[in-house]
Formats: sequence, C-alpha cells, structure tokens
Amino acid sequence: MNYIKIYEERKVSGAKLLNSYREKSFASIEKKGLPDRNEEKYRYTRLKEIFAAEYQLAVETNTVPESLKNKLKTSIPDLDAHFIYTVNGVAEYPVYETEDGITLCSLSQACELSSETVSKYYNTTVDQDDTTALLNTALASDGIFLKVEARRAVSKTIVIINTVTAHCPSFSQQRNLFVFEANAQARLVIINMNPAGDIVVSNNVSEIIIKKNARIEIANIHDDSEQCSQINSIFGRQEEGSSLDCTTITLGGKLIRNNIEIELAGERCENHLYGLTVAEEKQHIDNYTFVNHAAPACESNELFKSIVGGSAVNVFNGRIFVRQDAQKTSAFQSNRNILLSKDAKIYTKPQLEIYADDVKCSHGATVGRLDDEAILYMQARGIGKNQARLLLTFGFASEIIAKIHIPELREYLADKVNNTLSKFYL
Amino acid sequence: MIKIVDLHASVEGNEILKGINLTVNAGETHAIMGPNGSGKSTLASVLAGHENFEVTKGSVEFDGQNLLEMTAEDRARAGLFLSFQYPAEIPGVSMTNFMRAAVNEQRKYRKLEPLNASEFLKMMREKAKLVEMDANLIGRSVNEGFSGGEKKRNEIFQMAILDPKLAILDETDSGLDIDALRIVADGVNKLKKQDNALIVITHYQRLLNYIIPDFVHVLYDGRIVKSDGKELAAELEQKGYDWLK
Repeated sequence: MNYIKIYEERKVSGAKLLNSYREKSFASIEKKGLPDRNEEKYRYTRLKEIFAAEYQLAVETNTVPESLKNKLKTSIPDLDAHFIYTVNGVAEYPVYETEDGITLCSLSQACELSSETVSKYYNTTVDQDDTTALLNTALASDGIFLKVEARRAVSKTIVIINTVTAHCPSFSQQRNLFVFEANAQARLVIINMNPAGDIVVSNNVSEIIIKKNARIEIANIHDDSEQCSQINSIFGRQEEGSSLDCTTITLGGKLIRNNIEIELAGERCENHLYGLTVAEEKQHIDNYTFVNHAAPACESNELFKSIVGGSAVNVFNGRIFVRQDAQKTSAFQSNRNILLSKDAKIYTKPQLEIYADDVKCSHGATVGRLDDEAILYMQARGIGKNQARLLLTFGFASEIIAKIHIPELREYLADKVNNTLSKFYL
Repeated sequence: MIKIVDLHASVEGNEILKGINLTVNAGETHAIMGPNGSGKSTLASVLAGHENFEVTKGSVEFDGQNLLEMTAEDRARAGLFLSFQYPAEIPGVSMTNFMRAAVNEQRKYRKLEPLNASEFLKMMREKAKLVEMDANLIGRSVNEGFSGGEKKRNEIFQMAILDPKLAILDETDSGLDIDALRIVADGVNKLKKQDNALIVITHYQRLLNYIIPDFVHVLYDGRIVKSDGKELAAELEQKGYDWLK
C-alpha cells in the first residue's frame, strides 16, 4: 500500500498540532516496517494481507447523510444519548458542548478550541513500538475529541458511531482523544457500524486520559459488515484512585484486531477489561490486552470470552506486567472459549511478567464445548436440542453483555448475538 | 397413564434393567425402592430419554403413545417430567428464560398459543408461592450456586410450572434435611390431582412418610421383585432389603 502518498499529502493538509508528530512516527515505520508474525504481539494475525491491497485514501467528508444517521440511530431505539458520528475517520461537526463542562468535537477542531489540552495529552499514551499505532500518528487527520471537566458527571451516555461510505477499497485512520479530568464520571460507547458493506480497512487509535478519582465506563463495539477490517487500538492511562471499565464486543468484521493497553499509573486504580467475540465463517478476531501495573495497590480484572464457529479464528493474548514497585497489586485474568465447529480455531496466550513480590495474580484459559448434561436437562423440560444449545451459548455470552450498564445497548447487543448464534443452530 | 412391559436396558454393554413390568394409572402414586445399584435411577433415565442408555427389549406406552420412539424433549412435551437426582447447572440462563422457553415449547407441541411475558411471570409467581420457592433463586441462573436442597426444591418448582401428567421423582429426598424434605413433599402433595400420576424413586422410607404411596415396588438387580401396598415401605425400613434377594 502506498501510504507514503497519504503521508506527503497529510503533512500539508493536517492540523499543525498533529503534523508535528508525523515525521518522527513515519521515520520509525520506515525503519521497522509494519508488524509481521515474527513480532510476538502479532504472532497469530497476518496483518500483511490487509495492508497489501491497493487502497485509496478514504474520501474525507464531515457530513453524515441523514438517512444513514437515522438507520444507525434506530438500530438502538430509546437510547437517550449524545450522538456524534464519524465517516471514514473524520468527525462530523460542529458539536462543541453537549452539557455544561463537556467538550465534544472533532479532533481537528479541538486543535484550535482546546489546543492546550490537545498538546498536553496528544500522543502521550501510544505504544511507540507498535508501528500500526505509529502509522495512525503519521496519517490521521481527525477523529473525536472529548473532554469532561473536573467533578462533572455526564448525565447522558456519549455515543460515537463510526461509519464508512467508501465506494472503492479504502483505508482510513481515526484518532480519538478522550480526557477525563479529576473526579469526572462518564459513559462512552463507540460503535463501528458499516451497513453498506464497502471494503474498508481502518486503523484507529483512541487515547484515554483518566485523571485522579475519575470513574469511566467504555463500551467498544464492532458491528461491521463482513468486508471491514480494523485495527483498533485503545491506549489508556489511569491516575490515582481512578476506575475504568472497558468492554469490547466484536460481532462483525473480516479481520478485527483490538489492542487495549492500559497503564495504571497512580495508586489504587481499578481496571476491568471485558471482551466478547462471536465469530463465524472466515472471520479473524484478535484481542490483545496489556495491563501495565506501574503503581502500587491497583486492582485489575480481565474476562474475555469467545464463541467461534465456521472456520473462524479467535486470538486472545493477555499481557499483565507488574513493575517492581507496584506492590499490593491484584491482577486477574480469565479467557474462556467455546468452539462450535471442527474448523474453528482458538489461540489463547496469557503472559504474566511480575517483578514485585507482594502481589496477587492469577490467570486461566479454557477452551470447551457445550455441556451435554445441561443440554439433556433442558431437553427433559421440553426444550429442543438446538434451542437448548442456543440458550446455553447465549447464556455464556450474556455474562459479558451484562457488564454494560446501559439497558438499551444491552438489549441491542443481546438481539445481535442471538441472531448470530441462531445461524449456528437453527 | 404408563405401561412398561418387559423393559430391558443397558449402558456400555452392561444390562442394568432385566425385564421391568409396571403399570401406573391416573391418580396413583407409586414408590420404587431398592438398594443401591438395583437400577432405580437407570429406569428414570431410560423413561426420560437419556441417550446413554440403550433399550434392548420391551415396550413403554405413555398416554397412548410409544414412548421409546420419542425424543427426550417430546416426552417432556407430552407430559412426562423427571425430577433429577443431580440437576445440571446452566450458567447464564435465568430461571425465567429457561422456564418460559420450556413452557412455550410444550404449549406449541399441544397446539396452544405461547404465553406472553406478563402472563408467564404471573403464573411463575403463583407457582413459586405454591411450592414456597424463594424469589431470590428465581432471579438467578438455573441451579448455579444453588445448595443441594435448593436444587431439589427448584425441581419441584419446575414441576409445578410444567404441570406434567406423570412425574418421576428420582431420589428427590437425598441431600435434604428434615425441614427441606417437608417443604418439598408438601409441594409435591399440592400438585397431586386425580388426572396425574407420580412415581417416587427412593432409597429410604422417610420421604414416604410425607408422600403416601398407593403402591410400593422393590427393584432388585434390574427386576421388580416385590409389589405391595404402602405397608411394604415400613417393612423394608425395618428389615432392610436382604430378605428379598
């Protein structure tokens, strides 16, 4: 792929503040190249394939057609939320303030409106060894900027809907920056939806700054068509006493790679990472998590589940790193998988690196089939075998859906998951 | 109601049932007693349609139908209920969703309209009251984290909801303390009607102090070796099983 052309173009057209990071990032990519399977972090996922094709740079527009908006909005009825849309990685504007103390706008606007915040936090959390993230820094021109001022509790959920309107194979970069000041509280939902079925590769990065005692919930949902591939990286930094729940649900997409990398930088942070994958046909879903315990007395808890059928592949690589001075750390991780067909594959890899001595850490992974006793029990109550399997599989998935504290979204996800699972059984 | 004739069944090549004959009519309660390993639970599993057991000979007619040709789910839909000795746990599936699916599949089989959510919840609440089922348990996943006694009580609760023609209680008393036993037995007695029937499988007589059988059968080595009235249970309690061998 000819990203040099995009880079040359961006250097000129992008916001000054963002441009200042491009050169260094681009130089690193030139030196290291994009990740291949020799790189431990990308061992089970062949990214070359999605980068190899001749893509065009996605058309950049900042207006979402009303018809598309309505379609997306009505798929989650009754959700009273602040909606903001992106098309091909570019945010619709203007939405400057939604409630008192909240700024929600495009990143390029924020470079003007909140330049102090952007320059303070932009590119401060990104893994500089990951060239997919560097590629985003080198090429992205826009995305969403959200800032919640100190002590504000956002009353409505903030929903970001990412969509694409390409008419040819295209490549897009979205860069989000979310800043939650001390004691802020917010719920954020990011939904990737692409009802049109265009061939698109997105390489998105979200940076999340969570200041002291802020309490944040994020739901990160892939509900793309089968033509979409995405590398979706979330880099978060939590300060003292803060809490983050991040639930990643991957239902659609051709190749989806989620990087969720959180640094627990202050004492007594709480971090919960949840994940659910339902994959069928030839989907390839890869969740990589990195919980970096850099300060004492933090607690992290991870639960990722997958249901994999067809000839789909699911990868889970959960890395927990406990620094020497991060004493009194509690870090738990669990990965549970159900295989529904003989051609489906699951790779699971826990990776614990512990340098402190006073810690509680554990991890576990299971790959299994449905419990025959439970199916027989349901049959003995008059429930047909396939219906029993569906109920049981859905029950397995629902534990993760239940982690999301937004009833309308839960209902939407439950329907989606049920529909996908029905295809396996009915 | 049910007519079992010369029923033989084996598991992995070992013959466990060696010619069972038993007829149960509507309105009757039958107790099947016997020492461990005599085939009591196998009989229950075979009737419920457990695939691990192979019927090698004999016939079972249930409510005019050939039971052995029916799938496990169709047996339940036709009105057969088995209270399991070891009920399975179903994580992530709520009691409400489980029972609603069961009730509506059974109604569909009987060509009845499905119950809507509010009708179903109303019925479920009434039945919970009838068998003194704890509302907290209903809100949870099926049997997940339930104590032994709670699981057994949940079986009777399901029986109340499904209202079967024939219920088979397999060792429902095992693992119950005396208070739980009384609650479970009271529930069963409240569900007894003239047009349904009950088979109680038990090792001990104590459950039969609460659920009074019309007939008691002794199963030994895969055959019914003695049948009599309810006095037989007391006699077995006193003398044990050895005198029947």
